[in-house]
Amino acid sequence: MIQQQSIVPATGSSVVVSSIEEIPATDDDDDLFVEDETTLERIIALKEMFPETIRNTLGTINSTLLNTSKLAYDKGRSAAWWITSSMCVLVFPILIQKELLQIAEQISHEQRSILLGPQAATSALSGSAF
Amino acid sequence: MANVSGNAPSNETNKSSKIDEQQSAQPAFPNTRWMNVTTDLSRNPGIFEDVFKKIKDLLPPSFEGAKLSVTKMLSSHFQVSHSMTLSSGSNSGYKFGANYLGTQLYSQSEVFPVILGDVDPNGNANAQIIHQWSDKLRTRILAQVQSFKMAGYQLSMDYRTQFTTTTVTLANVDLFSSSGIAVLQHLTRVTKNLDIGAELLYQSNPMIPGGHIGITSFVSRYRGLDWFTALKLSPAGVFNVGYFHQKSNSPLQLGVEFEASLAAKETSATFSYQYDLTKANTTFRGMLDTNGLVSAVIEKRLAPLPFTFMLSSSLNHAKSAYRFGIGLLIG
Repeated sequence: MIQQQSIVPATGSSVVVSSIEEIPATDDDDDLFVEDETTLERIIALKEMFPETIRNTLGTINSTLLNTSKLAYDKGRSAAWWITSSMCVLVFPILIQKELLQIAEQISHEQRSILLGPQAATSALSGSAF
Repeated sequence: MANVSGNAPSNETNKSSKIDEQQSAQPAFPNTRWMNVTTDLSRNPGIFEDVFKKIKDLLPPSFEGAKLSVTKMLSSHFQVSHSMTLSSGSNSGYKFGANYLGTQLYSQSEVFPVILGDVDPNGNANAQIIHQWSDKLRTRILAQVQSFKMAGYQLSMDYRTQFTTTTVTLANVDLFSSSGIAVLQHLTRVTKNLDIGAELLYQSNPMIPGGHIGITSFVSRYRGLDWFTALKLSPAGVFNVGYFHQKSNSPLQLGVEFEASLAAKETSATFSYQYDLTKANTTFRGMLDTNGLVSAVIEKRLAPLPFTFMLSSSLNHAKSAYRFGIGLLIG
């Protein structure tokens, strides 16, 4: 806080500053700039409208939400990868083999019914490699 | 706790299943004679080590790299195998194994004596002799050499009666440095469904504070119609629970095992399954672990030829390390 005395030469008038803003002692052009804050700072200062506790609570909720969603995204990616790769290795080959077996049975069934008639088609079937 | 009778040669389980397959092909082993079996061992609970065996057999034998193995029967008693493993691990290389089955037939699937061995040019060798002296008494001698030095040797003896099995094992006994391990195990069938057993492990070694240490543990197994539960407790702080389920005539076998160790303050659970598609000559085994390990093995018999094709995969999600293997067993 700077107070200027009237001893200062007449080119500048003395300015008594009662706000918290700091004014350089020799810069006299500032009295033309009534607004010392940028627009963004003014908007941010609107937060002082709310009491302290509400401000803090909202801040905590906000950061918790952000962190939780980041964590959920990371864990979700990880879980999706783990589950997909494990199912590929544990369950997928069994399904493929069952499908191949069914197709092989169907082919041999058709061959028998073409070759020997529909009676023989229902008798025991032969397996084949793969 | 030291696992004394582990480290059996890896091809042992392959060979005993080959014995069973051979069994189904012919009515009995040729050139064998039946031995006199006087006791009824149908209600015998098996040996202490085998209480969790059915669950552990569901674990997939995963491997890395390529594996080729050729097995040839030189006579009805003697079998020889050559196997090559190409992997970036330590067990890469050539291994020669030999198997001898004796002339004493005790049951449809058990012939004695059995002599197993394998050797490789890096100075590792395993050898095992299993012999049954009478229908109640069986002994097993095991020796292992690693990098040209003797790594372990063990002698164990089982005595079976109608409802109980007692096992005495001596391992790595060295009288000059007074070190060694002795294990006494006993398993009894208490009721039709419940087996209870106890084990005392005594180890003497000048490096242990006090010179020697004794550890006890207790095991129990409760059987239901399609399932069994097994429990292993040790006052030293190791706790194991297992559950096995196979609905009768179902191709799916499930097993869960939970292990807790108070000394190391860690626990782990393993879920494993085995699915047999006999029409397609395929067996699928898989395992899922709380340590983030997933592994699966597919074994397929390529029917008219005596080939077995194996695919193995091992995913370690915690370390993001994925390993795959491919194998072909001939004969």
